[in-house]
Amino acid sequence: MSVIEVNHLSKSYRLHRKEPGLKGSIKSLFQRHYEEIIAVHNISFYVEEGEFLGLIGPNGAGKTTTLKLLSGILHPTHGEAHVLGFTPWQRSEDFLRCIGFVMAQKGQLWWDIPPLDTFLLNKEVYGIPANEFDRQLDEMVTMLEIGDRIAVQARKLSFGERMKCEIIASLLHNPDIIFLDEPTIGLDIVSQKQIWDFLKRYNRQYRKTIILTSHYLGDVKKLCDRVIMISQGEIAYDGALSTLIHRYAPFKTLTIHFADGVPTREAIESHGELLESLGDRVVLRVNREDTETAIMAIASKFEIYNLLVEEPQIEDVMVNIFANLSPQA
Amino acid sequence: MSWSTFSQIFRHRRKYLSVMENSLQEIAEYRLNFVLSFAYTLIPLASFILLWLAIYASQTSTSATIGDYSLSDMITYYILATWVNELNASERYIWRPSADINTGRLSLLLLRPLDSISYYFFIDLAATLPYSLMGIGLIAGFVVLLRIDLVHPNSFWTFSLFVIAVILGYLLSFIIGILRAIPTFWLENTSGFNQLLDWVIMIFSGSLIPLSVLPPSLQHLSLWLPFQYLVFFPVNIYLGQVPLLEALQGLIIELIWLIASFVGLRLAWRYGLRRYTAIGG
Repeated sequence: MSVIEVNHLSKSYRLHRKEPGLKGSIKSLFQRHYEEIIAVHNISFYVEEGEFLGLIGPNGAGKTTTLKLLSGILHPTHGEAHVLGFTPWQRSEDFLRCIGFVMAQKGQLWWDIPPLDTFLLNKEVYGIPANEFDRQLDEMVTMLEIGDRIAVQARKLSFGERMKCEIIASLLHNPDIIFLDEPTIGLDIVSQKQIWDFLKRYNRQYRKTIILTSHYLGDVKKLCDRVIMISQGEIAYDGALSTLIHRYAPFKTLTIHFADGVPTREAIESHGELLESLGDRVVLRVNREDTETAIMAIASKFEIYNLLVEEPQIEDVMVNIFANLSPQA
Repeated sequence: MSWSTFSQIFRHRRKYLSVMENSLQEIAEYRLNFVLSFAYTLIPLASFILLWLAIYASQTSTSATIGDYSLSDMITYYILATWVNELNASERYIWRPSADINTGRLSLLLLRPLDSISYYFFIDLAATLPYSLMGIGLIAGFVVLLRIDLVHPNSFWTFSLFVIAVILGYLLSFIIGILRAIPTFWLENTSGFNQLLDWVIMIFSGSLIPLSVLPPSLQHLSLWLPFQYLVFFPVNIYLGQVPLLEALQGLIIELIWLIASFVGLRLAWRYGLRRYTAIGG
């Protein structure tokens, strides 16, 4: 069952552009240049119940705008969307009770009082029954390993602890759809892993639909069944992450250790792109379909004692993709 | 429209009580700041009293009145005006919705089944209740210490009407406060406009000088503005300057202002939100 249906959704803003400097400021007092910024252009996709979807793309691609449209904070310029059967931007109470939104940039925790009090406020705001609240809170506190830190003023918590509390605050009312905007940005590895494990379990155990945006591919690699890549407001890819890598990175990496010293540069470069050469080791990038012939050719010419064939690192792939997609290119 | 808001709040009172509870805890975190923010208003109060002592002393007759006030009326006016003005929310709280709109934090409210204006109201109410009580304590200390003879209200009715006028004035000041945040939906910086408005309110509410001392043209203008209900009107009732019937009449006009501005606020807020969700929190 599709819990989210997005049809030809577009969002554009009108921004006024000022020329640099004081002269520009004075000029803009009298004559304003407006510019139409298209944040999201004609996107369509469906999300099934229980899916874990990652929205990826370079800065300013329209990822956060998409989440804001789906959660009802933004009104679209064109198109329609149905989330659990509701039109998000009508923001009906029943709809708001079914969604949770974690924003890394804007926390909902009250700064000067302990997170527990923010949780208790949400208990009343969402009308969560006491026993359910206790169970839910207890489970999340255990899984995220923050224990009695929830009784300390939010301003005194570490960044990671605060992020965990933000997640708890947004999920206490047991929403069916969870939006996460950069949930692990700036976190240390331990907190990151705890949040990954938590989200993964939450998704599997309760069949909750989760959509996250991230710059950080670790998030996507560890969590998402499916990715949608957005670039300049349009969907550039929708599918499994592994397929994306195959499509955009049609090559493999060979790491070769030579028994009698490294051959000359020319001899190697005829087989592929030389990435690194250190001691007796050479790293070579070859086309996916040429992998076998390259290995055979090298092995027949030189004595090699170790060979490693690797899929490209997802980070490297993304750098390539984003570089090709960004407006400057 | 306004009635449905009240029944909504009543049905969901636990939400808003919980908002108040958190707000109170926040205040408790900064107790000293809370006390000092009232205490420093005693400095301008003392200055005004000294100024008026000098003015009355220069009068030829010992029983001189200025704008119908005797010297002790005038001193009492300033003491009460300080208290009433401090418990009015308009200046203390406009920054909150303004900042939320500017930084996009308003989105956090929009994501929850919560009425934003009611939310702001209960945060403010939680601060105002202890603040006004503490203000009474500080001012009582001030009065006793300086052996000031306060004028007492001439009847129970006068005092009751005074209390009602203070409560209505507080509500009006809250609505004005949020109304002042509305332009933030369209303009990034409204501080210039709001500073100007601060002075207009200070003069026409009577918190700077009693309105009856102002030149007739300004007095006349003040009748057409809602600001006199914030300070001048309640304090004047207390001093017995307003006959009972006139006070009742004034309260009715104030109520009309209150309802009109409330409806206006709701409409403006909805209109502003449309703009907010169009350009993106």
